[in-house]
Amino acid sequence: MTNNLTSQETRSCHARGEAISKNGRPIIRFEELPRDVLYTIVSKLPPKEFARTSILSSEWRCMWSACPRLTFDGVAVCKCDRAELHQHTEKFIHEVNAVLQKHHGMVVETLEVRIDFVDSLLVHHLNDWVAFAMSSRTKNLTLDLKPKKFWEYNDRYVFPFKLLDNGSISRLQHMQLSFVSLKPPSRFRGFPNLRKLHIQSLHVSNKDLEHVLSHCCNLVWLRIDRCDLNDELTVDGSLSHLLYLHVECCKLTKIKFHAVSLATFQYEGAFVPIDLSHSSKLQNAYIQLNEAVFQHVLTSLLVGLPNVQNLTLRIHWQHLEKQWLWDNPRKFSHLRHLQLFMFSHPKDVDKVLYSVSFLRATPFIEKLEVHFTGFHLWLANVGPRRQDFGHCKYNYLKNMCITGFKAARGQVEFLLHVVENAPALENVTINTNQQASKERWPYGGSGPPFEEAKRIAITSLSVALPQNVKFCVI
Amino acid sequence: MAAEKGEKGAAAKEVAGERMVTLESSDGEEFHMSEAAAQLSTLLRHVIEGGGIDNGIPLPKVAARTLEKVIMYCEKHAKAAAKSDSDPSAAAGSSSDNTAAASEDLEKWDRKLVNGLSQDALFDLIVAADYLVIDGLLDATCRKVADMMKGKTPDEIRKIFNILNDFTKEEEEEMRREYAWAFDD
Repeated sequence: MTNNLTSQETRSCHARGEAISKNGRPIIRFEELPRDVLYTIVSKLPPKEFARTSILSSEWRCMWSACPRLTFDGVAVCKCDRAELHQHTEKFIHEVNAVLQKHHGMVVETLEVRIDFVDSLLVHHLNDWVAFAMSSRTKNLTLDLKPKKFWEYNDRYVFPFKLLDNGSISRLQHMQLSFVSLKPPSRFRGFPNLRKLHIQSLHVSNKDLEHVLSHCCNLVWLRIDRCDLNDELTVDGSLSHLLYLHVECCKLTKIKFHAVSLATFQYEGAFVPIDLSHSSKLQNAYIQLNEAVFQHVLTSLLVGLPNVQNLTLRIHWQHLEKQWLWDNPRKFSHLRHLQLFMFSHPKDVDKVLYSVSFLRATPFIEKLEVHFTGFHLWLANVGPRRQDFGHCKYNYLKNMCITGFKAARGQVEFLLHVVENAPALENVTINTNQQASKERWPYGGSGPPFEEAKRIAITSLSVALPQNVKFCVI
Repeated sequence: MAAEKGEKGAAAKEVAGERMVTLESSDGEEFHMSEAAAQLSTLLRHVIEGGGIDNGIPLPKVAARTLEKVIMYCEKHAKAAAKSDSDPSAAAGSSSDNTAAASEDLEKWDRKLVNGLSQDALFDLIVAADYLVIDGLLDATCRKVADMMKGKTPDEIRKIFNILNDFTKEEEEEMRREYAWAFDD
């Protein structure tokens, strides 16, 4: 045994000669790449080829046996198109079982299975594979079972909680579960060491999900997508390590998390109350709503995300109310950068200026970007004037950028109001091109009146802007 | 066409209202990159947030020709991200052709970038992406190396990557038998 070790060492020394390139710099040899980088490379190989790398050299063999990662991607394993995948389920099962058998009794840190769950034949085997992961001390488990046309299928794979024991539960650090049904047993205490969780298209009750999430106290990254709870998602448990939360296209009635360290929040879906009021360090929020009244959304966000620093808000089908009222004493006291996508209905063209009243809640704003959409805005001379709104100071605003400027009265008055009330303004950019979406012009002729809009922008603002402000019209 | 008014000649730190970051390669060359692009590197992001960027950031582990490629990648991806933020067809509840096409174009661009590199340059870029913690770039470069390995016999791989086979013939045979399931096609 000792002899073997010594001779191995000698061989490695010879193997590690230094290759020098023409310009005198040593060429990085494959084996000198950091180990986790080598893992990243080989994990992109199909499982058999990954295993074959074990015979490249003794160094490679050590790496392979120390920590195999098993990734089974249906399309790669069956060498077919995604559309044909369902015909090859049996082949997939066979291949996976063959590989797993060879790893019986070994530690397998990562197990990823990606196959469309359209055949109940898979259930038995998936259970076996989960059992294998548990006994192989798996840390990272991915069950990505979502078919391409997932809305056509009702049945989900029932996650076999009964196959998990306390040891295997506490080993899991990273999980992705797509197209799975979760019914945790009543005494289930969550995954105590889970750091990253992505759940997609699950069948789960809101109570069960709230319970599980509340007990994953080490969660850092959480993404919930296409999980229709049709109810609230109120996670009372303190997730003090959660930094990133992304909720996408879920049918929910309310979201509430207790995440004091949350840095980034992303949401796409219907307008529902979002309560992240404990997240005092929230840096970034990206909110995309299907349909809502602009003023209602801002009021709601003032309650739910009061500490956000950078906010991006897009309401795909946006309504504006005709009211100046902003008697709300709350403020976005940390908001520095606001990016708004203002989609204008034909009926709301005369209400554009009413949207400016939200600025009363952003006294510390430094950068404002507004991206307008809607061909009805072109030169629309309707709506109130800024004198009707009154004064409001934006002492920290340095930078303003407007795109989709179509010289609508509301837009001009909006700009003038801000410019007249922002003593620290350094930079104003007005872009007559629509950036938020493709420019539509249904009237034929020579197209939208860009030049006229530019002229109006220049004339209106040249007078109002102080000399030292950098002003650009595109 | 732009009508400009006011101060001409932005300060070195700001170009068209965009903050720039100065980087210094291991061979002493200075490079500039937009802050938005620098944010793609977790390492640089921490340095910027810590406020240490006034005199430029030295990168002793990254040579000039590699840093050039890193900056190309980051600027391209930062621009694409900014563009997709304003893409309306990324509507909630559906995935559109527009966003799919845009990300496909970006993938093509990434592939072109890595395909044009010598093995030497590719490895340097991997080390840089790992050091600077740029996940997308590390992924793209590692994918390229994996592609170079796919479908090749161990001997061919050893040849391409200069790996010295330190197994004896008997040892190699034994391993081939042990991992027969991996060698059967």
